[in-house]
Amino acid sequence: MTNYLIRRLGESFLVLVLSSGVVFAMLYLAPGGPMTEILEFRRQSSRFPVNPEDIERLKRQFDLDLPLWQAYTRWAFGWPVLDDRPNRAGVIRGDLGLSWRVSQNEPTLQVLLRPLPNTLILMTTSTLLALVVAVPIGVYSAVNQYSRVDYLVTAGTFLGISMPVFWLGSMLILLFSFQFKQWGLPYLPPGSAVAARDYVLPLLGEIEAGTLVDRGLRLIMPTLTLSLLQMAAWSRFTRASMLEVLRQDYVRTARAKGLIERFVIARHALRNALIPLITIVTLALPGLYGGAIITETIFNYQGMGLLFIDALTQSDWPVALAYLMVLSVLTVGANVLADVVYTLVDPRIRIA
Amino acid sequence: MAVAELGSQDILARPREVSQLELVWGRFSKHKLAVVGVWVLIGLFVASFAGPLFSPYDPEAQFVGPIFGDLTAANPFGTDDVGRDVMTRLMYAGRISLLLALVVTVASSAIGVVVGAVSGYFGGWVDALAMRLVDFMLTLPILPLLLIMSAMSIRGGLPIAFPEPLTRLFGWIWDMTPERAEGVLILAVILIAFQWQSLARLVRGQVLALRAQAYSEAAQALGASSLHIIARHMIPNSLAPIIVATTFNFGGVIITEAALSFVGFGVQAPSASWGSMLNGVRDFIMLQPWRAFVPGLAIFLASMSINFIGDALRDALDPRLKL
Repeated sequence: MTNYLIRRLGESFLVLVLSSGVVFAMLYLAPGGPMTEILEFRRQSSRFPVNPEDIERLKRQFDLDLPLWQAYTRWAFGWPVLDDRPNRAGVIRGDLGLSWRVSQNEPTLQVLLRPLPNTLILMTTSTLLALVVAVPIGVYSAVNQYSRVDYLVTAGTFLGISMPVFWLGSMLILLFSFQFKQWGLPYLPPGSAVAARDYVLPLLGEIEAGTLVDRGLRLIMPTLTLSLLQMAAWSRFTRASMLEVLRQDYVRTARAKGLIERFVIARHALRNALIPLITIVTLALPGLYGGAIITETIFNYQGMGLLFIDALTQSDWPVALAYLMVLSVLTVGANVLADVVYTLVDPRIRIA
Repeated sequence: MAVAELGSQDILARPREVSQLELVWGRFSKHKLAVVGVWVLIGLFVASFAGPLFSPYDPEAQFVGPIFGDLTAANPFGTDDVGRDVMTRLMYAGRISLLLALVVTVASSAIGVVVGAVSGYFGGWVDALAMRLVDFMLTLPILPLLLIMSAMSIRGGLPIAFPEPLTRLFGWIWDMTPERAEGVLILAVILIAFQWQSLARLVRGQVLALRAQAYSEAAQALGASSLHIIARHMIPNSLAPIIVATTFNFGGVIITEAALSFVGFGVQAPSASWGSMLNGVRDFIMLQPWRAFVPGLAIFLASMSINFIGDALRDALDPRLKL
């Protein structure tokens, strides 16, 4: 196990170095990439004309005058140390450089950490919601295979899987914000994670900005949007996995020795059926995190995904690169974690 | 007596042969929703490719109606913020969305099949190299990477030179200049780059299993070349899962393209795909939210039809392949 873990972590590290290298190279080599953006910005923001020394200074400041490999190793590992410019600690020591545009000259890590709580809240609620809905539905439709409810669930999961998240989000706004407001019901505010100022909702009265109620109301639609796809996929998976387990001999044995059906399903079948689901959920987490990009954009929810879109729109490559690194670490980490957790919950699986 | 009758009638009369295609169609058409899906998809294609021929408007002509015009007989889906006819734009957007997805799906399937078949058949370092690459690309966060690459290409960072007849052809279909068609094709290349991996893995698995079969050995013993065996035995015999996976990929690509366009890094204005039309109405969503309904519905219908068709194909082509 220890050997396996060391090997996997080593491989993961290599994958991260490779992928960051590829993306870094792409951004670095892009013609008219950062410099044009920066110069354009300077031209607009200052009364002084840009002179060649300024360009040289800027290039030095962002390591753009170095050959690609040096720029990369300095960005990633803070090596080599050069005399004519400030030292960098490198990504490996938590130095992700300075933001160019989104929040100028602020350390990227700080910029990235600010919207983190919002994203974490959104991810946690939607993962939990998806699980709480998907597992019982999957189990029920497996136990009652080919019943009317089962067909309904199957049709529903197809709907959920085919639903484009951005359209679902728009439709939720149409229903819960627009129509509810017209009907005089307490409607859901469609934008932002926190209100800018207090507001009044019908029946609920005045809502203070920033309170738990305010945040909760604003979380409902993004959570629904983000969790629907997972709900559909996971309930389908639970159903399939449950159907397979219900055919096993030990389930027949449990029934034969006279256990009540509910006990057979809950204790013998479900516990075994959930094992593969653990892997699926673990592997889905980075995807959920990345998928939050779209959801956060629809609802203008100030999370990391929205920050990433802002960074792309404004060509703030350090921030975009840093977001991608965080996501890569999560994805690679989830892969290792899924394997490890799998061996822990299922003693039949041994890792060589 | 009875025996003689049997002999003359039932045994000698050979049962009508049921072709493979009939068999597959028989099983496919049992899936009612998939049959509906086929018709919906045909409808979307016909509306997108033939529809504009009957439209009196140019998709980019402004002020053909009032700004934010309501639904009228002249403009069945109203007019948008600069008075363009929404229905005409929807049809042209459908051309981009559907054809782009089709190109991406076909190209990525071709790459996936070739890489998977070669890698599975030859094994060795070719296999190791190809599969490491696939593993590597499958561990990357796809959506943000697509966004970054697309953002770069929009700023002119991905110089890909397409042969001129190609850009002219697509420009003609999409009713745009070759330069703009090139922009859309670059997006297609970016999507292809991240779409072929899972199919390569699937085909490799199939080929590994098929190669161990006796007929593969027999073909080798008869002196068939590797190319012949791959092209005539390996790929045709793994066609069922390839078709199923390709169908699902088609739906996936439509959604992915729409998602990219929705956040502003896909098809660029003034061209429009269904995703970017949805993006276009985002600013007015609180004023007239129903405007978001139609372009999204088109994406949803297309993707759901394809999912149903894929599901039915899986049952029809290979009953063992139940997932």
